[in-house]
Amino acid sequence: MKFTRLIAIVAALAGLLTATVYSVHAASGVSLPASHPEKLEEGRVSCAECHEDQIKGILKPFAAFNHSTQFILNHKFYAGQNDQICSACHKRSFCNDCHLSKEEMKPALKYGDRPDRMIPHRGDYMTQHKIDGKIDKGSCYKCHGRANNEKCMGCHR
Amino acid sequence: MRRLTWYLGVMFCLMPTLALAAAEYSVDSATYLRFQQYAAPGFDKKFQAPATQYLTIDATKIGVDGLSLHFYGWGDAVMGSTLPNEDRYNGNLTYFYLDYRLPSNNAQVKAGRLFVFDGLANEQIDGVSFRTDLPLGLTLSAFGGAPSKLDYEKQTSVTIAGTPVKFYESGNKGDTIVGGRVSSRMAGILELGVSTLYEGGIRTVISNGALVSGNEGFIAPGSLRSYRQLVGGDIWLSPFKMVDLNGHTFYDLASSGIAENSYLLTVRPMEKLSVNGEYTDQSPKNYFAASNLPSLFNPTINDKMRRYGATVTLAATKAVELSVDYRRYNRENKGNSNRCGFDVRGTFVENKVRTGFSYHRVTGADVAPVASITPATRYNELRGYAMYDTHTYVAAFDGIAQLYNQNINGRKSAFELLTSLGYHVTPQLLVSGDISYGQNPDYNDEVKGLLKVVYNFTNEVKGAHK
Ligand code: HEC
Ligand code: HEC
Ligand code: HEC
Ligand code: HEC
Ligand code: HEC
Repeated sequence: MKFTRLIAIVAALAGLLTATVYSVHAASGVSLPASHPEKLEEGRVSCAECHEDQIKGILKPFAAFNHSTQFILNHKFYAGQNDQICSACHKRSFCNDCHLSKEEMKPALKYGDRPDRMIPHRGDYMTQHKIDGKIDKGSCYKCHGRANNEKCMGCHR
Repeated sequence: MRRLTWYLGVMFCLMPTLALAAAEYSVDSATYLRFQQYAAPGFDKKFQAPATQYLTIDATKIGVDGLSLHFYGWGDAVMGSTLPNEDRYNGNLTYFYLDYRLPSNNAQVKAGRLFVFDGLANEQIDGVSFRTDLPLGLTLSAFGGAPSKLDYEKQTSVTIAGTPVKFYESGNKGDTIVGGRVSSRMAGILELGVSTLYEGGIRTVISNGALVSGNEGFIAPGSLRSYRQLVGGDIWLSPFKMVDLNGHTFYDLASSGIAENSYLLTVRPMEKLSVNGEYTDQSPKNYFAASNLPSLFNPTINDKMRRYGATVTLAATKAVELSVDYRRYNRENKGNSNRCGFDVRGTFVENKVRTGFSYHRVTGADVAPVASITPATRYNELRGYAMYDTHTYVAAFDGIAQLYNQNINGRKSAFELLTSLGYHVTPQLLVSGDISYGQNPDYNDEVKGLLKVVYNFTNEVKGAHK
């Protein structure tokens, strides 16, 4: 019961706000495209190669989203603020290769044919995880510890 | 479990039918067949061949402008021996939601099982989410529902000094969740966000005043809470074109303390050169406050985890990128570790040939309270790969090795070599096979095989969904 009430409240608030926004701000805001108009190749994308200055929908320079090594290692900052732009090119299932609540296959297993991608847990991870986990346990908690623990429970109880 | 298998079965049959009713849809299917020797500690090696099926379906143009339907899930079956406590059949409905985009202001409503990545939220929920841009450069988003339950839950019961102690682990999530974010933007210069989240009804330790032992000491009863409540701030600041600051601070209200600070400063003095500095800290008391695997992510230990470092990346030519990195990890009660090294990547012949090589040296802290089972944390890591993708054939080679300073289980190194060969039967259909061989302190000879069939079909005219 509590749950349905909660959803009703969130939905009502959302509806109210949308209505307000639309009356005040009728259709002036530029939206991001639902999907990126140009098909892109595999591998690193450099937005700046095809775009200049600013993404109107989010008021940030295109160059900030160049998929450099640093962008990929730090994509959490961009996803946390502008997840909508990620969805223009990425199906959610793309993210779910690494971000899941329940998964059987470690991400690196699925992409043996894509060594160029920065997929976590390459190689035999059973040995290596004991070291990585000790050195930087906090980094594991992004994906394990609240979810995706089923396998861990066998040894960590 | 059985109910889920049923549910998945129905979905797998129903979804394609639903999708076909849509004017535009795409179906991605990936099937993996693994061949492996698998052993849990204390058990004999057994041969296993798990088959896993992933299915993604996206249907757009389903009658109403802006409305679309999205599905993703997997199911698997293990052939050969199963391990103790391992289910032969397994599966998960990862998401299944309706997405409605309003014509302007980036307004969007989603309902169903979905993922929320928004400010401090990184959640899988059964519920609704909503976002819109507001006047004056403001944006607003909100979500609510129930955290998707994990379908496994373990009730552990231990007897300590004659007192039975029960606690729930791993499947443990709350029954309601709400959250949202407000942000303010100045075109091209700044985005500032404030986000919050509340999850209630988490089943927690039921105990009679005893202590439960985890692998990092003891979890005191009452130290795990029945709710999770956080507030956070996030920033993007680019005062000049060549400087970017990204970061966030998350505060845990349930345990009254900063859970995480994470900041990244990027300076690009030249187009081809980028210099980064990063800093992250987390305190277990606050960061692990809502862990459902407290024996590993123990919120009661008094520790502080920090990491900071710098990376210099040089795009030497359009085809070659070189980066040099240094990172220091500091744990207040375990000591300092360092990791430094370099990475080279190359992309040649119109993206068809991709190669890379990296070397890292890790000098880990060896002052640990559980030294007897601590593996050596000083080692060199080498990795090299090369791949060739003609769009018809794909060949890839990958090698990774760790060379330890001390013996672990009588062995001074670990390595894995992998070869993969693939063939595009049609542009939509890829069949590939991987074979890997490795040796490491846990296994003498580890041979694994994998067969993969990927099918990506879309009738969309354009769009670049990956
Ligand atoms: C191969 C060239 C190419 C690359 C690389 C590319 N785009 Fe685009 N993009 C296009 C084309 C073509 C269009 C449609 C024409 C237009 O609107 O500019 C487009 C349109 C867009 C739009 C909608 C128009 C707008 O200004 O809001 C966005 C947003 C966008 N791209 C974001 C990106 C981002 C972010 C990246 C990098 C991760 C990127 N693109 C990389 C070619 C490219
Ligand atoms: C204009 C299209 C576009 C946009 C927008 C975009 N990406 Fe990507 N992204 C790509 C392409 C193309 C790849 C390469 C996929 C591949 O190699 O198979 C990629 C790869 C990635 C990868 C994997 C890299 C690896 O080495 O494994 C991550 C992570 C990622 N993107 C995150 C994001 C996030 C987060 C956002 C939003 C802030 C985003 N992307 C926005 C096109 C885009
Ligand atoms: C190749 C694997 C991979 C893919 C694909 C990937 N991520 Fe990540 N993601 C990571 C890793 C690794 C981290 C942890 C980074 C860290 O510790 O700073 C992370 C962290 C995050 C976080 C921060 C989580 C938290 O709790 O603070 C968010 C949000 C996120 N990713 C969103 C996305 C989105 C959105 C996509 C899809 C567009 C995506 N990721 C795709 C590997 C991936
Ligand atoms: C970006 C998300 C992400 C991060 C960060 C992450 N993992 Fe994982 N990890 C996964 C996924 C997904 C799997 C596959 C599911 C599984 O096996 O439970 C996995 C699997 C594993 C496995 C099982 C490997 C095997 O051979 O089957 C271990 C062990 C592990 N992770 C440990 C760690 C440790 C230790 C850390 C921190 C140093 C960490 N992980 C960080 C996503 C992540
Ligand atoms: C086959 C047994 C096994 C499995 C499965 C396993 N681990 Fe471990 N893990 C270990 C052992 C053994 C250690 C070393 C313990 C020590 O030295 O204190 C360890 C250490 C760790 C550490 C460092 C702990 C510390 O406090 O220093 C982390 C973090 C960790 N594992 C995370 C995971 C995660 C996450 C998973 C599941 C995805 C997982 N492990 C699955 C056996 C396992």
